[in-house]
Amino acid sequence: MNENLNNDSTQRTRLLRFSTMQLYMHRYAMLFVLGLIITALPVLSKDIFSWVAVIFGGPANLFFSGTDVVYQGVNVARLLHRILGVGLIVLSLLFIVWALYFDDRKWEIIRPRAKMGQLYNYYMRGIHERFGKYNPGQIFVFKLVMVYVILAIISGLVMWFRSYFSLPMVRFAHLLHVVAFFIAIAELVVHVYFGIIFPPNRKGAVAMFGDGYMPEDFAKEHHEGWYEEVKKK
Amino acid sequence: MEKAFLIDVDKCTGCHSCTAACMLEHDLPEGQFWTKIESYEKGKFPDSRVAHLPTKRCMHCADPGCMKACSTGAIHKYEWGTVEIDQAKCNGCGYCLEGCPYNVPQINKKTNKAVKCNMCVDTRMVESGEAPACAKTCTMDAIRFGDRDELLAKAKEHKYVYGEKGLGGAHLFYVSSMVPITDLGLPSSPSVPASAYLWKEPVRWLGWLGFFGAIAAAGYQYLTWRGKQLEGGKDERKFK
Repeated sequence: MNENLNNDSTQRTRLLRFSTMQLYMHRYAMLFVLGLIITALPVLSKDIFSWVAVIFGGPANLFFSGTDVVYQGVNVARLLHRILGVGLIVLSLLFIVWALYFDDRKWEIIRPRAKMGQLYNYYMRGIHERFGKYNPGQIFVFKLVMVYVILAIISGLVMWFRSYFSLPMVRFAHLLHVVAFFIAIAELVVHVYFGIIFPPNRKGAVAMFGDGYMPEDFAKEHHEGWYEEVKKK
Repeated sequence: MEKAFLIDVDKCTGCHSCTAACMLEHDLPEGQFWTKIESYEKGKFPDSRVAHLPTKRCMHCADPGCMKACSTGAIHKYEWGTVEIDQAKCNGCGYCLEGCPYNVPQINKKTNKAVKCNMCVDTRMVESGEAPACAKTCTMDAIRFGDRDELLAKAKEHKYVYGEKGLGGAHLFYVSSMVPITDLGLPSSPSVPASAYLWKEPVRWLGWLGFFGAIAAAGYQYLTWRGKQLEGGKDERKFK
C-alpha cells in the first residue's frame, strides 16, 4: 500500500489536501459532536426521544436494578454528555493552538476570497467558478461552527456549574445552548450532504477520511486557485 | 374534585406553626422550607401595617412550568391538582427551578434532588379531603383546604385575590381585603420565564424547521444537479 502511494506515477496525480493534524482534528470533532448530539436527545425532549434514554438506561439498569429505565438513561446520557463536552473543549483549545502557531496557512479558512453568489452559480446553475483552497460555503460553515461551538461551550459550562450563577442567567444559558444545538443540526445536515452524499464532491471526503491526498484533476475542477498556487511551487 | 388552598393574609399572625408542622410532616432538614413566613412592613412604627405571608409554597399550577422543564418526567400532576416531584425519578438537574416563575422548587443538598410542597399526598389522604399538615395546624384558620371551586367562590369575596390566573390557574389562592398581594413579593403576572419557555416551545419548532429545511434544501440541490446532468449529456464543464 505504502509503496503504491510513494510510486511516482501516483504521486504526480495526487495533491496533499489536508495535513495529519487536520485529519485527526476532524475525526475527533466528528466523534465528539456525534456523541454530544445523541446524548443530548433524551434531555432535549422526553416526549419524542425517551427511546434514546431507554437505550442508555437498559444496560445501566443491569447494575442498578429497581429504578426507572428512562431516569437511568437520562442520567447516563447527562454523564456522557459532560465527558464528551470536556473532550470537545480540549479539542477546541488544541485546535486554536494549532491554528495560531502551527498552521502554515494561517487561518486562511476564515479569510474569504470568493462570494456566495459564486457558490450559487456553481451548485445550482452548473457554471464553473474559480475557488481558492476553500470555497465560500466551506468558509461560511467553518465560521458557523466556530460560533456555535463557542456558544455551546460557554452556555454549557454555565449550566453545568449552575449553582455559581443566578437563575435568570442559567435560563438564558439553557436557551443559548438549545439555539446552538439547532444551528449545529441544520449545519451538519448541509455539511454531510455536500461532503459525502453529493456525488461530485466525494473525493474531498475520501481525502479527509483517508490519507489527506486528493486527485489532481479533482483539485483543478473544485479549487482552481489553490491548484495553480500549489503547482507554481 | 379539584383541591386547593385558600390563604387569608389578613388572618395570618406569622406564628410559624405551618412551617413547623410541615418540617415535622416531611422530615425536612434544617434550613429548608416548603412553607415559610415572610413579613412585610409598610410605614414606620407605630404608624405601620404588617402583613405576614406564607411563601415558598408551591402554587400547584394547572399547567406547571416545572413539569414541562423536567428532564426525566419525575414531576407529575394528580387529577385533583397536586403537582408532585417523584423523588425516585428526580436526578437533581435543576431544570424545574428554571421553569417556575414563583421560585418554589429547591435542591435538597443532602439527597441532591429537587423538592417542594406536595400537598402532603404521600402522608395524607388529601384527595378525599383530609387537610395537609399546614392547614390542619394553622392557629388562625388562615390556611384552609378544600374543594377548589368552593374556595375560589369564597376567595372572590375579598378585595384582592391572587392565584386565579397564571399558568392555567393555581391550586392555591392568596386573599386579602387590605393589602394587594402583589405588593408582598409575588410576581404580578406569573408565567413561565420567557427564556425557559422559548427553548421548550417556539425554538424547538425552529429547530425542526432548520433540520427538515436543510434536508429539503439539500434535496432540491440534488434534483437540480441531476436535472442539469441529464440535460447536459456529456458536457464536461457542468458539475464534474
